[in-house]
Amino acid sequence: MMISVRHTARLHKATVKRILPECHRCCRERAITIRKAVDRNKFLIVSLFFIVYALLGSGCSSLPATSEVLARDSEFIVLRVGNEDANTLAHRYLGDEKLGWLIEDANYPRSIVSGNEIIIPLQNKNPIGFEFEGYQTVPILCYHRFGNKGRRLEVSAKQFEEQLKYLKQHDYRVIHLHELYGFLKGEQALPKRSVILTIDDGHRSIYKIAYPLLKKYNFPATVFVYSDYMNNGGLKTSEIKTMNSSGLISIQPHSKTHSNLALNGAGEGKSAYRKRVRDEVRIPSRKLENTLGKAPRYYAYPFGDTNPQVIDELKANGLLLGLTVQSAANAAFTYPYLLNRSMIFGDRGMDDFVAKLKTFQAR
Amino acid sequence: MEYRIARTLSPGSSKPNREVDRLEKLISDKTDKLMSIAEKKRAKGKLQSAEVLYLRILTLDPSHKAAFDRLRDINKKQLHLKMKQKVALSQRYRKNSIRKKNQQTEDEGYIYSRQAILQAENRAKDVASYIGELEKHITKYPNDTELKVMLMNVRVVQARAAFRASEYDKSLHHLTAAEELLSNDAKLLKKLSEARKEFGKELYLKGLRRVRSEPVNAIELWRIALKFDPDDKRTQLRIDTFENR
Repeated sequence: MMISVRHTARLHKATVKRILPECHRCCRERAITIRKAVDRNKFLIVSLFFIVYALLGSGCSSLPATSEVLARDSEFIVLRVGNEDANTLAHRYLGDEKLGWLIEDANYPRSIVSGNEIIIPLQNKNPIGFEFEGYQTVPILCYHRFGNKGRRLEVSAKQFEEQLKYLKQHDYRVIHLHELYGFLKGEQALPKRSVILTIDDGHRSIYKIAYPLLKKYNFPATVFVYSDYMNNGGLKTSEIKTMNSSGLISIQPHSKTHSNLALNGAGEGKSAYRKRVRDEVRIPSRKLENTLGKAPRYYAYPFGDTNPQVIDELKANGLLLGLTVQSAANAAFTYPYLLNRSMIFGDRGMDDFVAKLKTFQAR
Repeated sequence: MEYRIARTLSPGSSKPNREVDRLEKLISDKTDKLMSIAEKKRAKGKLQSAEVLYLRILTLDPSHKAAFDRLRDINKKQLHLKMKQKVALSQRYRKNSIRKKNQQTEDEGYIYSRQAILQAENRAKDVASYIGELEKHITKYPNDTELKVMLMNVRVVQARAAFRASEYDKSLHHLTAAEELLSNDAKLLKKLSEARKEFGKELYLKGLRRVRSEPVNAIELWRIALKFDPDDKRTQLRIDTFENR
């Protein structure tokens, strides 16, 4: 529609341009009259376009749905799809448009297009993603910093964008870490091909490089910061607040000093070690709570190392998930305080990245 | 699933309902049976067999809470064990408990890099890329002695395998590549030189065994032996004697 209106206006302009040189001064008045007529036409066309556009836009929700419900009980709705997509159907029948994936996954490989008969599941019978061939797993990717210095833990903006683009193009669904919690409780199904992005430490390149790209692709991520680094070379409070308020980035603790919590320091006694573990868990949690007004819920162990004592400390502080850097994906039955994460290195290629996106474990 | 959908489509028909009930009963009986076997295996400490059975139960009935909990227990034990091994790895190579701010990334890069190599599961399947990873790491962190030793061992093993298959050029390539990368480590160079001598000696003896029946072949073998161990006077003497004859 828009193209044809523009095209029409362009044709009119071309006509005027053709006419004007031919007419000279004596014809100028005529030309002006034509131009006025064209302008009037243009105005009419544009007005018409806006009216139709407004009608279409506002009318979408009020127009009757063309999907036809064929049958319905407490378990399923069977329907013939009209002009609605999965998200619209989810909004209409499940009360949440974000659950469009549930309809897509339930009908896979049949697509949700006009004329297809599909089912909408109303009960969650398989929240842990078990199937005959195997079970669902969720990879958690772990980044550190972004830039071009060629360090192993540094991913360039170009590489990062390529990876995000790959996720988008190959239909991976990047989800929030909090959605994984329900899955691990065996209560909340997740989209097939779910992936979680995390970024450790809190380097400022997260705000400068990663955040704009995550916004561009509308991908959520969790940033784990160690509190001594905040405003001290790392992310600034204002940056943390901005990212957090976007709803896309969740900020969670990654210790106070980034010391290895599973190892005793040189000459460190038992009680000193206990105190260190307590401080390394409690202090960053309180600091983030004071900064963001919300208690953090997830913790990434520095160097990915932990032990039962550290896990007990996490539990005592109300933290629900603990993330390591053991390279594997997570099933619903994975122990929530020893979640696996796969490191993304800057000096490796796309093949390595793709190999880490394991969303199904065959039996 | 199909019968459930059929039940939705024809609520008046009793057949889908009957079939759903029948299958649900079948699944319930089967999972009960599997669960009792799995519990016995678990009690005997046969966790791997029990794990397989719990997985089968959940395939039949994803809402089977008891099997899910058992599976998590097993997973928790496995992950704790893996973590213990990882921490032991960190313990061996830690420098300081609290790192300087500007060293942070380099140290983390170093630790994660070596962990990725030491815990790599595909090393036997894809030796070439495993060697590539080791070389990348050593070029970046030339003081990591453990991984340098590891690289040397992998190269020597590969050189030996190629040598056994009479692929002498390939074998030599492994040794030369290792020598180039480890050129600043006298201890490792000495070990590589010992490997060269060993291969050289084997070829020398092989040549000796053939000298009467296939003299040309014997000379060829000695020449290759000299490529492995250029300082071997005994082999050189054999070649000279044979050629002056």
